[in-house]
Amino acid sequence: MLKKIWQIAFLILLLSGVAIVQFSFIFSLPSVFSQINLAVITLIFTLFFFGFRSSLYAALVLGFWLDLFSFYFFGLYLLLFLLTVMLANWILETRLTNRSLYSFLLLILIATAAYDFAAAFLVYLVGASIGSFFLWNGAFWSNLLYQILWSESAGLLMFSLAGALTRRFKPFFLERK
Amino acid sequence: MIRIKKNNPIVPGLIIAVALFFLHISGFLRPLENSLSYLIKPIAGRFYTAGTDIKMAYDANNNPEDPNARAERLAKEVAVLTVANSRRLEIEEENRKLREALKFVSNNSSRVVVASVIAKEAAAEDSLGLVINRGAKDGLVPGLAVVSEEGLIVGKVLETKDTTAKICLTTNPSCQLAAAIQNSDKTQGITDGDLGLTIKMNYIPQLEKIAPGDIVITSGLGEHIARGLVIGRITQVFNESNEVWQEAIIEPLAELDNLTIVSILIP
Repeated sequence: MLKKIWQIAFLILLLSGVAIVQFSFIFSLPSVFSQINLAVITLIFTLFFFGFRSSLYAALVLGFWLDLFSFYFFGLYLLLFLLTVMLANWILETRLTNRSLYSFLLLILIATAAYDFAAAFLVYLVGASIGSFFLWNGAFWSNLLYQILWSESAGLLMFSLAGALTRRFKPFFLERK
Repeated sequence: MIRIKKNNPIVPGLIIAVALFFLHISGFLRPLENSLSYLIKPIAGRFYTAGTDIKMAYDANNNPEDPNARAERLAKEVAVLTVANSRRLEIEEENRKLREALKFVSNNSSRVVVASVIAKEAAAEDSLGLVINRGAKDGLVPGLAVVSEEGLIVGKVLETKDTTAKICLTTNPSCQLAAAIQNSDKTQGITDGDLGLTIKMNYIPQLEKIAPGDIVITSGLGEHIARGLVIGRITQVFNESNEVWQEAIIEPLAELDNLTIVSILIP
């Protein structure tokens, strides 16, 4: 029981760290690097390797921290992360047949795009956006492209690391002896 | 019909999310939020400074300025500033003597709150703002002037929470300031950010004489912003003879990309 509490506390601390790094560090980097969406990558990683329940709770922790710092309406990030995780889980359960590197990268691609569209749409909907409609805004598309590129690279790295640490996702073949 | 299984984690997840939302709206979460924010601000500030340092190094590496040209430009700037400073000292001395003669009570009693930038808000690409580690509890209200370490106005306070505040930069679209040009006509107008790079000043009557190099300052017509804070220098003037208004492009004098410490002036 005590071990489980420590595990949960450690995970909350780790996710809080991810949220702070995303909000304070990554957004302040040069514009090309500031498009790294560490939060979404973390959520998809959690979904893929630890299951839907864990990723849902991770979405709550990350969403709460980002909402705490953000000056958009409270709940924006909570809503965005929950929707992203639910969509990714639905795709993982109903559309993807295995848990390979390709599935992981495809899932990251869809989740990143879905998150970006939902975020831009919600910000536009509440009137916090001051430019043109996001679909006609060149910056939106270039940022999305950079985000996908970064997320896929990070996904490749994370999957390789996870593959080195665990045998769960190693391919295996049934051989007749 | 959608069926939700009994052990589906969506239900508790959504319940927690809705509960957090209502607890926030009702203010029950405020003590916890303030404590967490207080705890995290120093760490967030360090992360922001580290990110800004990397950005400065990256920018310097990608846009290196010719050292000779830079030295020449700076030497010219020093000469101009030396002349301007000597004139300012003269005027200041004269002003002090006149105030003494008139027994004038100084009305320059504004309070300065120094703040660190702890994050950049960037959920949408066109609504950038900086988050600082001071908020309503420190006396901040929307509309207050934010100045750089050199005393140049860099933006204004947009929104406040108890312990943090969001500021917009003068180059951000819709970050408007009541401004005046230091020319013979003392032209007044409103500045607005342009694509996050420069500042625009619109609706200047055609008859007003403005020229590149003129300094633009705050006019004091804004509710919380005093007169005389330097916004920038005019670099381009667009005046078509068939137009009613002319437009000026202003270059900010402060380095807005790498701000880590700012001061907020409370009148």
